[in-house]
Amino acid sequence: MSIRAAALAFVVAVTPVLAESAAAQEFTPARNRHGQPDFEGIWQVLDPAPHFNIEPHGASYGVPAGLGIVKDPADGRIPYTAAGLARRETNRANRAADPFTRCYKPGVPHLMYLPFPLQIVQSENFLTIMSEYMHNTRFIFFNRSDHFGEGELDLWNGDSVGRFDGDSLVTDVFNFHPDIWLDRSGNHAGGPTLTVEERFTLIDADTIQYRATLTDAEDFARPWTIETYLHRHKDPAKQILEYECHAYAENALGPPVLPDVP
Amino acid sequence: MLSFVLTPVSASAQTVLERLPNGRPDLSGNWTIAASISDISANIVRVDGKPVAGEERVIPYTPVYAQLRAEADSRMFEEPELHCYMSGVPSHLWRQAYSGAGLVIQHTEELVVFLHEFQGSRRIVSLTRREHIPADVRLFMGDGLGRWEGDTLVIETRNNNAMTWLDTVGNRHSDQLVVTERFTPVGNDRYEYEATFVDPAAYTASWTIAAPMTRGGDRNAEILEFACVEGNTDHLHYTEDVGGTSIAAPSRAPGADAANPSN
Repeated sequence: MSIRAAALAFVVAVTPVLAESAAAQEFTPARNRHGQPDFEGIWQVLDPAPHFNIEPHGASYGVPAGLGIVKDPADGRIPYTAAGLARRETNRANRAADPFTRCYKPGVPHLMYLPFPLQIVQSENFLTIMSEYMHNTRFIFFNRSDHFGEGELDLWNGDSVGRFDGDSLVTDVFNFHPDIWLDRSGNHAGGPTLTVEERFTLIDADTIQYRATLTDAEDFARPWTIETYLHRHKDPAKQILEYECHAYAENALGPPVLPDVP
Repeated sequence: MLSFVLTPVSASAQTVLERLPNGRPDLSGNWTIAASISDISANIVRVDGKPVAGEERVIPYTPVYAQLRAEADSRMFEEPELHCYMSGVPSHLWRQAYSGAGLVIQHTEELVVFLHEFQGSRRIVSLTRREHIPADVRLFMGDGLGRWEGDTLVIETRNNNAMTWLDTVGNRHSDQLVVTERFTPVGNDRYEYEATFVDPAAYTASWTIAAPMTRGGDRNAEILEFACVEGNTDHLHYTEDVGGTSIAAPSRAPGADAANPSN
């Protein structure tokens, strides 16, 4: 059995089913000219706290308090394995290693709850999710049958295979880079054994319920799920601009932000 | 506007064009624009509105920008690619394509989105907005507003910062650059592309390039992630040449707004 097939079997066997909210079941979203539920618009999470820490946490300097977005397990804590937890503590002791401080791509799902707007545009065969942060763009094809290979690609934002499940967009994301931080506090995921399954559901015309289930037998004792909400920007003048982090760092600090030279 | 390369006879009279529900030509798909990555002047067709050919294909630089261009060979540490910058307007449309997809266009009635694999460059152009954003908001990919002239899509892009080059050899522009692009169908999968450059700080006259634009058959060709900042060791090629271990940030282009930190 391949790593990937094993990971999927693990999901099927262990993933508990989160209760669907009544609102998610009741709302019928508009459909576009391709017959797809229409997710187009400019969206953003309201709460900046998960960007700093997706687990429950009190405030600290520059960091707003938050109740976390981990909905399963119910205690809001990531069910790390011993190895996964050890790495989190190593990260936490060395925050200079945070990829975000170097303007790297934040990875999926971190990209989805950054304090930056993102725009969704839908085409017949795919949609794009375009974040203002470092022009990060995700392509989600609806008709791609599988992933690229068996995890050999180390993509920061993974490779996404999408499908519509009723009115929801469901993605299966794989082929991750090993060094993704899920927040600024060292919670992490990634590598060839990680699978992220996302579910986008419009619960009303202006709100997307966003869920992501992370499965990786090396880092996590069981699959676990975050849930947050993307809100539609309603200012008609709102548009995605640029936050070209690395370029501004060059201008502001002089030397460019570059990775360590091997 | 004078057109010397071809006379775009109404393509719709001859070819059935894919169209959006509002009747406008649909540019969705994967495209190749055959313009020069290495020296944009090779594609010049007009200078100051007059047709040119051969040796006349010269960018009409002001003295200051002619000097910048001449110094480019010794200032390759400023090359935007080295710094992982998005390639800017318009050359991001035809930069290197490593996987099956180069330029991907998403087209709706409200938007044209240009996505390119190289540097993950991305430009979102509104087809409904009529006013540009404030002039002191400058962007790597500018602020493009699209409109239709019959079946020709016309995009005027302002708000460009001065940190991008027009090609790899070091042709330059200032932050006063205005690019007007025209996408004219000559068949469903074949458009004629034109871009006219106006920039009073950098050029003494307007100049125009043209290139054929071809739609590929594979609508599922997918742009892969371009992780430049995350893996950039390209600077070593340059720093070793000059004995350094780090590269300097690019100097500001003459005429750039010194008070604007994003330029």
